[in-house]
Amino acid sequence: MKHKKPFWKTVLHFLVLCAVTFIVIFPLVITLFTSLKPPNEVITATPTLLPHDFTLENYIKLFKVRNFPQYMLNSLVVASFTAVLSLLISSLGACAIVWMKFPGKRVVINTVLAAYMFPQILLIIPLFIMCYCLNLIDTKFSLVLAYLSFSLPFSVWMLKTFFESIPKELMEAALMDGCSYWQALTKIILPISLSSITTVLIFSFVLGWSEYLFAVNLITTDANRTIAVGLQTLLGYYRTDFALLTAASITMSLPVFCLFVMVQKYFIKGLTVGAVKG
Amino acid sequence: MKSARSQQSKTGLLFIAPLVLCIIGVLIYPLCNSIVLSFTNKMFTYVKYDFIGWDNYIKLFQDDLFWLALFHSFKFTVFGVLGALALGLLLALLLNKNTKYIAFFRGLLFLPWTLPSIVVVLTFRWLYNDFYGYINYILLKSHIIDVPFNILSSSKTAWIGVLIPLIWCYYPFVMVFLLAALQSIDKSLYQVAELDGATKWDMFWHITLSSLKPSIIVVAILEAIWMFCSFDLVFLLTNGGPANETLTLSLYIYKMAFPAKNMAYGTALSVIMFIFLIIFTIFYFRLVGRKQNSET
Repeated sequence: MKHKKPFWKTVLHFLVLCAVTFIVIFPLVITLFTSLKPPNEVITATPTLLPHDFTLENYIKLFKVRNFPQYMLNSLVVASFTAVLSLLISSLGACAIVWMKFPGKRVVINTVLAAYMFPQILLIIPLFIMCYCLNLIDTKFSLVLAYLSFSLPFSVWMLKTFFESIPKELMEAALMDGCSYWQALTKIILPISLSSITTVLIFSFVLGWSEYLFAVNLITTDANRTIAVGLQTLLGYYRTDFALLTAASITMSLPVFCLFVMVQKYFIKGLTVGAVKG
Repeated sequence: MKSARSQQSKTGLLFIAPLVLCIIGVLIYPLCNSIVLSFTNKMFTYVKYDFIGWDNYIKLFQDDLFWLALFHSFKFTVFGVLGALALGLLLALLLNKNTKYIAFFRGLLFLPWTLPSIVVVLTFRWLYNDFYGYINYILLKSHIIDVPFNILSSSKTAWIGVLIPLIWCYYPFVMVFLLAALQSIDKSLYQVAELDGATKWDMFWHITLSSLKPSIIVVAILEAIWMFCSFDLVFLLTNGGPANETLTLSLYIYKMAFPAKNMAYGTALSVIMFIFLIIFTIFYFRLVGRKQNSET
């Protein structure tokens, strides 16, 4: 019944795929290559795709510029705290939702699902006022707090879906053997959920790393600024130095790319939960 | 037995407590606070303010800029969703093959979704640049335009300049979503159709597209919600300009609340946006609910 496709069709498909991919990610390609060009090759009326001389001087310059390393460090702190707190709170929550009984369970589940698509712009005003009243403006903690409202719904949903796929007997056996829920969660459940845990950590980390709207409004001094806002400041000071700006873009995106490549498969699954079953 | 159950319920509450406290603290309380503030005249961070009833909402309905912003939001949403659906579907169809290199291309094509918005903005600013940018270079070389021009600075074309990066950021989600749906289509349908003498086009229309229809609707609503509320791109690319030609509702909320310092009016605008969001979400849950019911 099955007949093999002719060879030329496979080749054609491959070529079309190459061409389309190149066109679609063209903006990324030129950003990468511009960052590797010496500045005099960037400011030219006849731009080439590939640099004539590959150079890393833009990247070296970037790390000497103003407070760029400081911005990166701030982002790292904020993103790491967001990731760890998200994981802690969501694994406890998902454990309770899947294996325990408590009043108001249905309401909690529905709220988490609805929070899944809640936009940032609706929260910026009230969260700003709240942070102002609590004297949290210009602290990294205010950012972590704000990011939790976006990372938690995803994390809980991701872990809940995974926990539901674990056989019920495993948890029951652990409890029979005298484990407390806390012990069962940390010693048995979490070690076998590594893929979901990594996805949750990475999603929250990337959110904290790249978020812009809260970072620009809740932080007021340069010392606490994160990289997204730092990049915008660079844009202000070096408006025409696109070699430097593209180098900064690549520096900011590279960790994100690497992390996403690691968990691509699970992440896509997590993204589509609640929409497609399983 | 009974005490064991109440014991379990207590641990359950203990485990769920941090989550519930967080959701109340950073989501539900702020949301309620927004609704309350929309009936006041609160300015920025001043502690003193009064309740002024429906005044903000009355002002809002007479505000030309509000209607303009709402119109632009819908314009971006409609064209953005259509663009992202078309591109996402095309790429999903191209990727729907069982060969080794597919994972590599899927990874590359997924990248724009993961990019921080500020990076997307810098990238497109560089692309659009009227002196040294690539788009101008290509257009000038092929004699489509005679003078260099920046798409973002003309009031006629600025919205297209914002729409392109918007689609570019959001198509990958459509792509992976529809790819998953494509891979779940029963292959034997095609074989039967082939035996019946169906043409390629018939098969695409009657099998592929009609099996994808539910997924397309779901993904379209999700994308519509995101695009309707998206803020970063338009804020960083044009800040609503030139001459308010790209002012969207989320941008107007921000401009009222922060630069203009009128928090109360900003929250009133947010409430309107929230109402639209609820309508979208109800549609979404209706469809997802129906889909899951039909599956079981």
